[in-house]
Amino acid sequence: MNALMLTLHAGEKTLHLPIIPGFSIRELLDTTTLRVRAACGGSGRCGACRVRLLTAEAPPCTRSERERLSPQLRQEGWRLACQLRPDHSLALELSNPAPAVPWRSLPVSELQWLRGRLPSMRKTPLGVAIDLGTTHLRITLWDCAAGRRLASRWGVNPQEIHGSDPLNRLDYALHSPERSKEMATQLRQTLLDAVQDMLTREVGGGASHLPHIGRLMIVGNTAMLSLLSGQGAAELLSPDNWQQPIACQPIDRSAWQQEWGLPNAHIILVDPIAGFIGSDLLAGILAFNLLEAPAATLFLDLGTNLELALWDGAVLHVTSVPGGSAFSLLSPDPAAWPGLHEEVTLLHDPLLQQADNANCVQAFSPAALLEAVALLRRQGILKVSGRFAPSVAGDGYQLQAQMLTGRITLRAVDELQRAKAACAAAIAMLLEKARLHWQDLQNIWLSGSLGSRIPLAAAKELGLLPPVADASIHQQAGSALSGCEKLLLAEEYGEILAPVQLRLSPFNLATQPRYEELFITHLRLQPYAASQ
Amino acid sequence: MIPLHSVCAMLETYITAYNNAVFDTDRDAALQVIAQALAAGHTPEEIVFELVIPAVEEMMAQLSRDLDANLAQHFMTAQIAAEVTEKMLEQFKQPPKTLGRVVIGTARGDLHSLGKRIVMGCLKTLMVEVRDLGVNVPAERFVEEAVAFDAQVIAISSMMVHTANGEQGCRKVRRLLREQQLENRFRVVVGGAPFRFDEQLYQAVGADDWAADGVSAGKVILRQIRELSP
Ligand code: B12
Ligand code: FES
Repeated sequence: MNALMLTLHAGEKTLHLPIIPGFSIRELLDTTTLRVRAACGGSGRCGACRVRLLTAEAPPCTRSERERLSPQLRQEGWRLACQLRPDHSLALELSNPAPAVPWRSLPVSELQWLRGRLPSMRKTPLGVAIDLGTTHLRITLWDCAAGRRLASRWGVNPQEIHGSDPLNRLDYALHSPERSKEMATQLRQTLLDAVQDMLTREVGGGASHLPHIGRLMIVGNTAMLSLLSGQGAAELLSPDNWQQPIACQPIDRSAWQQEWGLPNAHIILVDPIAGFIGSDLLAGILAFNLLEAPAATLFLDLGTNLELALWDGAVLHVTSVPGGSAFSLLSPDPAAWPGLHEEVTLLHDPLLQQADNANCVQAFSPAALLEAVALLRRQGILKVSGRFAPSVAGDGYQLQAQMLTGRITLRAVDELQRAKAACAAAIAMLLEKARLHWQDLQNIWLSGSLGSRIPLAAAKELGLLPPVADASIHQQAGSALSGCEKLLLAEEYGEILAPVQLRLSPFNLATQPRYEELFITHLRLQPYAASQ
Repeated sequence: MIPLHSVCAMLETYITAYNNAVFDTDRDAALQVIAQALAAGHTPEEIVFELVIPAVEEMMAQLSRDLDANLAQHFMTAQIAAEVTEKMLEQFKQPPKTLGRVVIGTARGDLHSLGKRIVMGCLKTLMVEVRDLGVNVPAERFVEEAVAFDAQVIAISSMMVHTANGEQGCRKVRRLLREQQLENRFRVVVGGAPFRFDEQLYQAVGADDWAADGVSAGKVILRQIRELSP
């Protein structure tokens, strides 16, 4: 069966998009950069989301469309994007798209269905949940009184320009109080921008609704929370504080309320667990109900950094490791990562070997890199040591994914080995600390930008993950945001956090000589068990 | 040392086998070669001076030609060489002459110990005495220990940008040396990822030299020792 496709013409641009049955044109476009105008949350009341049909076959007009569009407009093919739910392939024209903003709706697969209402918030019913990531910001808007999610957005963290690495940003911020303030203000402004975009498009009325926001819940990694609040950066850089919570609270909450124009909002920054273990991990633990999982459940939040939690039935052992550049995601848009949705193929054309090195493999997604390196191993081209077999000439290997050709160099393989070793050794250390063996593992939960998409077979072949059966490995994106939403919808969020906080045992790998040994042995490109 | 030609020819094959194993990061195979050489009647002195050190030197040459040599290989080179040397030294009839003394540690605020470990491995094999100051070492301690150990070189490893370029690391060591008029007595050598990204950084932080990897660190440090006490 051919997939249903939407073809959209907007000025010079043409967009092809798979149709998901049941979804409106507006919902489909909200996940792209080409959005329709909107001011009513897609209820068919504002009439701003007009598009023109270029194909004949389409579902009949809804009542809202008949009310909002004159017979003549309908005759000419005009429809409301929020009402039109195609069941055939369609071509459309969008002559007046919404001004480009850096925000998009999150894919549904990243949003968990949640129950919970806060009747006590009737007067100021709106709530905002925010996951502050190093690379991406994820935000949802709720009607907390009704227990309904109104909208979601994700976009790039504006602090990227000060370095993709949190440490570079901390270093920049610590240079002077002015810089630290500038970075914090910029981030707060960006968050407000996303909230306003949601209010305008999904509630209608934009900023006039800001006073109706009663709660704002923020989770994030420690560095990001500290850069948002302008607090704790210096403490964070000192190893003495690694195992302690770092205070990242705003000094003056009312100043934030004022800056954001949120006079009635209770602004809550969930404190991180420790120096480099953020409240995003805490939120992920809540999202997965880790305390209720069987003993020996491992939770890996794998993004630029890896944060880990191992539940042994009594204690939650938590730690974090940096992956390094092999795991950092160059393109902010997962859909644009070559190799993420398509098979990776290897070409070995000696002529191409001389090709321009600009497209080296780091322009691909980390998932594609893993996939390609696993493929090279399988074919015996690459050895466990991370070197090419003697029969292979040249210093790189062509890789093709999604029309892009690049090259895997030994340097990229080395980077991957380091990142993989750092992660696998961390898993091994946590298991040792809990006196467990990888065979004891009942479940592995994977989340984070890389974790939720990582190719499992490749990850196991290369030893990034223990050889646990696929059926026991669960991949879910957006866990930190889901956990944050749970807290947002809780009458007393502290009561939900307390039982988890009580069980936490943070663990600094940098103080463990054993971690060094494990890192070295896990550098080899072989299954996890072989490096133990 | 026993410069017997026949012995050398024999060792030649061991050197090749040993280097291949190390290059393939196969520790067990490398140790097996050593065991075979011992079983064949070679003395601990021969193993170190005729096999391990030439192998490390050969590896230095190979790795400097092959810019893509990976971390695992550097580890193996240093690790196995240091391990074997340490074991053999215990069995030496006379303690060997050391070529110099080095204090080494990671900069204040930095707990990344792996780079230091590789550098130490190479230095030990090259018969340089090393005092390991551990991780997160304050600048004052680098200087105090260098004086106490009568070292020629202070080696500082920093794996993070702020510990390499910050005020508490090499910059402060340099300042203390100047204040205490010790600049003629010690050379400062740095290394770690940030110095690889910015090859001028070592000068900016007041170091005398730097090296991109552990194996060439051995070479650079030996050169500094020789320059200081020819
Ligand atoms: C393993 C690792 C860790 C381990 C360290 C274990 C240990 N005992 O050493 C753990 C998990 C503990 C760790 C912790 C942290 N890490 Co870390 N870590 C890494 C990783 C993956 C590898 C680093 C490493 O050991 N490399 C091995 C060394 C041997 O390789 P090398 O740099 O090539 O070293 C050679 C040369 O530099 C030279 N050399 C080294 N030292 C010296 C010294 C001299 C004198 C000379 C001449 C030469 C020389 O020889 C070496 C051998 O050939 C890197 C990422 C990467 N891909 O490199 C991040 C990385 C260094 N870590 C980073 C960070 C941020 C951290 C943490 C803050 C994060 C956290 N989640 O806690 C903490 C900080 C801890 C602290 N206060 O120090 C960042 C630093 C970013 C920055 N901009 O500065 C990196 C770059 C990851 C990233 N984000 O990209 N880390
Ligand atoms: S009518 Fe479609 S968004 Fe308002």
